[in-house]
This record gives sequence, C-alpha cells and structure tokens, in this order.
Amino acid sequence: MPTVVDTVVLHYFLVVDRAALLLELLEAPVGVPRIVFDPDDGQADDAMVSELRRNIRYEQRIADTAVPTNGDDTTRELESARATAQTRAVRLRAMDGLVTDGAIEVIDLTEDELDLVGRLTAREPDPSLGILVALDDGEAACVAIAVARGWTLATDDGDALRVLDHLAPDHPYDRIRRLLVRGATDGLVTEAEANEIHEEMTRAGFWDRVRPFPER
Amino acid sequence: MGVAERLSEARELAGYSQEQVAAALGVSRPMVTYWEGGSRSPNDRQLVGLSRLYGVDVAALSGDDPLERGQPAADMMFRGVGEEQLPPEGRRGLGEFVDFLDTYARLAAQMDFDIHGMRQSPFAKSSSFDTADDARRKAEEVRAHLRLGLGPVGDVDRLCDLLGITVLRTQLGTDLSTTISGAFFKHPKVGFAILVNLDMTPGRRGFTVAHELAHALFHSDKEPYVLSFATKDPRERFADTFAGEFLMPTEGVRRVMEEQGFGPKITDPADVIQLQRFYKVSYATALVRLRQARSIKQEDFDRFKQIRPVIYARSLGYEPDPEEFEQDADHWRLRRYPPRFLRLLRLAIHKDRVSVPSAAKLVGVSIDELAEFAAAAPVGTDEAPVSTRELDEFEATGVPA
Repeated sequence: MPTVVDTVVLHYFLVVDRAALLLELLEAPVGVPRIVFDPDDGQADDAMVSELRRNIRYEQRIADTAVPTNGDDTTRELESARATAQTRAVRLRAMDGLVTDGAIEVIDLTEDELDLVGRLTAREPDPSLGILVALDDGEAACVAIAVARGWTLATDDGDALRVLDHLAPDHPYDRIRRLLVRGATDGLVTEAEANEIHEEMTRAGFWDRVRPFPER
Repeated sequence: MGVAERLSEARELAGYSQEQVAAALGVSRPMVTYWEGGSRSPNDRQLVGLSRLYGVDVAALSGDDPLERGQPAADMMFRGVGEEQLPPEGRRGLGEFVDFLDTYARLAAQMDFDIHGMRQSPFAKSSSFDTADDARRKAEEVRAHLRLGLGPVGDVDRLCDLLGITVLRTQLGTDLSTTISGAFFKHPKVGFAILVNLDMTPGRRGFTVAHELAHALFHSDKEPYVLSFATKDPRERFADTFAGEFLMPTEGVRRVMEEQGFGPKITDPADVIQLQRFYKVSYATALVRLRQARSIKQEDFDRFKQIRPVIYARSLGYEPDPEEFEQDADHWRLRRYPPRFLRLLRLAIHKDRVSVPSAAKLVGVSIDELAEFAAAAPVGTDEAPVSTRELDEFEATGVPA
C-alpha cells in the first residue's frame, strides 16, 4: 500500500540525515501533498510557501543571524545555534533532490480531497472530528489523501490521528517511534541506533519522550 | 459560483490588487488573471496560501460554502470604518485579531480554563471623557488605583495581563496615515482585548498599548470596539494624552528633574536617556513627552532627535534594551501572544488535547519553534538553579521568606 507522509515525519528524518532509512521503512510509492513540499515555491512569501520550505527558511534565518564577536558565553551559544541551524537547513534541502530523483512524489489533491481539507482546516472545526483547533494544512492534506486513496498515513500529529480515527477507524498509519522499531526489527538499524536516532530527533525538537527501546 | 469567480471576489473583498497577490505567492501577475479568468487553476499549496491571504477558509474558495469571512465581529469593525479606508494588511490583521479571540475563547471553554478577562471597566461611567484635562485626570486616577504613585509603569503589557486585558500584536501596515496603530475590542467571551500594530517601532507599540488601555477603561461602556486611526477625533486625542501621562506623569517628571538638578529645561540628552530609562519608555516617547510638558526647548528637541539613543545610552553605561532596536515583526513570533493564552496552549499540548503541529499552525510558527516552546518545563530542566542560590542568599542574610 502506498504511503503519504507528513511534514513532521519528513522533517525529523531529514534533520537527522536519515531520509534514506525513512524511504526504506515506508511502503513505496511515497507521496507528499504539495502543501507539505512544493519544489516550485521558492519565490513565494514565507506564509505562502510549502511547510518544509518554511522550515528550511526558518533554519536558514537562524544560520544567517549575525553573531556579536566579543567571545563571551552568549556569543559561543549563538555561534553554536547558528552552526546547528546551518546543518539542519542543508539537510532539509535534501528534499529537493529526493523529489527530483523520484524517490518522493509530489501529489496534487483531487476536488474531493480538497473539500475534505477545507473541512479539516475550517476556523471552527467540526465537533464530530474530535479536535479542538483546526488541523494544520499539511496534515489535513495527508489525512485527505490517506482516506480517499486508502494509503497508509505516516504522521506523528496526534490531532491528525484523532481525525483519521473518526473518519476511517482502523486505517493503517505509522508514527516515528513505530518506524524506528520496525527499522530495528527488519535489521536496518540496531536497537541502540534506533534509540540514538530518536534521541537526536528529540534534541531537534521532536516531542515524543518515549524511546523506541526503553529497556536498552 | 465557480472557483475562478470566487477567487476574484475574495481578492476584492480582502482589498488586494492582482499585483500584490502575485508578489505574495511568487507568481506572475498574468497568472493571477488566468486563475480568476478560469483558464488555469492554482495548485493546492497556492489555494491554501490564497485562503490565508484573503482571510477565508479553504472551503470558501474551493467549495460551495458562502463566500464570507465568517467573522461577524470583524465585519462589524470593517463596516464601522468603511472598508475602503483600511489597507489590505490592516484588514487582514483585524481579521486575525478577531479570529484569535474566537479561538482563545473556544479553546479556553474546551479546556475549562478561566481567562479572567476584564468585562467591565472599574472606571468608565456614563459621561464621556474626551478632553485633555479629562485624560490627565484619568491617568492620575488609574495610576492611583494601581498604586503606581509617580513612578514608572514598567511593562505595560504585563500590567494589562494582570488587569485581565488581552493584548495581541500583529502586522497592520507601516503607513500610519492609512492604517491603524491599534484597536480595542470588547469580545463577548474573552473580555477586553487590545490589538497593537507590530509594524510600528517598538517604542510606539508600547505607547499604543497605553493608548488602547484608555479606550478600554474609559470608552468601553459606550463602544464595543475602537479603531485607532491618526485622526483629530477627541476620543483619540484623549487616549493619546492619557497614554503620555500614564507612562510619564508630568508631575513625576518634574520631580525627577528637580531632584536630579536638571534645571527647568533639559539641555543635555543624557538627562533624556536617564528619564527614559527610569520610566522604561522609548527615547522617542520620552522626547515627545518632555516636549509636550514644555521641558525641552524646540531647538534642543530638534538637536536631541539626531541622537542615536542605543549607542549613546551605552556610552553612558546603560545596557542596551533589546526592545529599543528596530525589530522586525518576525522577531516577535510567539511573544506577540498574551502570556495567559500561551499558558493555555501549553496546557492543551501537555494534556494531549492539541497536537504540536496544530498548535504551530494556530500561532503561525514552525513546528520546531513550537516544540521548543511546548517542551519548556517549569521544573526539572537543565537550567542552572540560580533561583535556589538566590533563595539561599536571602536566607544567609536573614531575610525571612
């Protein structure tokens, strides 16, 4: 079954430089909605670009921030944050190559899928969907594709999974931790490596605090 | 109505030209014409971008829902000023303000969270306050009510927070001859709320909070909202005078000048810096106030305007205040939201009622940034326990807790 993958999953696998592992773990073909990544949105304002492009720009902005040169602790911290952001920006930009090489396909929504996106992102969410605030645009697009086309949804957004459960109970989905566990089970990484990757992701901002192999 | 017609109508309702839309989306102007003519269609990402730009739901552009903002309160304010008077960025900011308040109210209700919003001014009476003398008197009254004496107000945002007044900062445009510097709105569920134009200089933003506070405290009994244009409207003059007097009371300034031996008129810009630092206002605000109080001669005022205050203050031994720099709107990001709302948002994330990506979309920041905000824990972090050391110091020096 093909997989539609959302911004969160792509973002964290990219920032830890493990896009290849992600692609091995997901069932091909792997698709992303244009709202998540659009290879042709380079000229648009920040608010108008695709989500991954916005993340790239955010990291690049930090990387380009001028650092005072008085050599104190604050300077060193800023310099370190700048270097980290530069690394992340470069790694996130790998997305362009993955799309060009055909490893990831950019998907345009059908009218029905777009209608569902409209429902999921409405200012006042439909109470029957089980969410308190509107779904993020990219997540909404991924849910719409997963539901309409019967694809597996790869996400780590609790709200997206809540909606998926309301719209299509028992629909197949993947989360980052589950993917890492599968990676170790399939012998693509060791259990220790899976934990390390997860830890690196949490250092980059990923909010899941339970390691794939807590006993290790 | 087809998508093409909806796009055209939504753009006109929002007040954008095709050129402006093209620039925002990074496409050519003819492309926008093609979309609106129906010969080509925007892709999904562009359609979502257009919905954001026009302040309407995606469904309103792509589906059969009626094409309206869906924000009766914002529409009421737009009608009040006449839509043509407010530039597109002003309309978008105003829409965002009302949207934010509606969401805040809904989220608070779902989370059983008390906003503690002020719903009635402890000051407003039925008589109208609109003269300069009224304003000065009322500023003194509010200062007395808040036990501020003649000293500095400090952080006026935090003061509003304590009073139960919600303050949001958003971009409303840079041209203050056409757009608003801020707004006051009595939201039915959140209570009193203030909007501040983030496109203004940092010092002017602080002044605007105090200005809108005047509307909240003294005009809210008659007006559900006030949009602050640069007009000679007596209400606006009242709020300006109130803000100046509230932030830097004339009598307080006079006493400081006397005690510091500045003389009847200030002739040294270092004295302006000292007053500015004491009252925690911007250099420009202090300068304007001192001129209003006739404590600076016109020629000195003109001379002091040429000073670079941050550099000059540093040469006098004052650490630069980050708020004094010309910060672009981007710098504010999460800080433009009221602390009480951020507390609610963090609570909703921690209780797994709102996901990090949904919250990031809600406040318009990246997932990384929101995740960092959500992860910040009040205890048990790696931060050096400075507070514990400080408490030990209090104990060691015999200051009882």
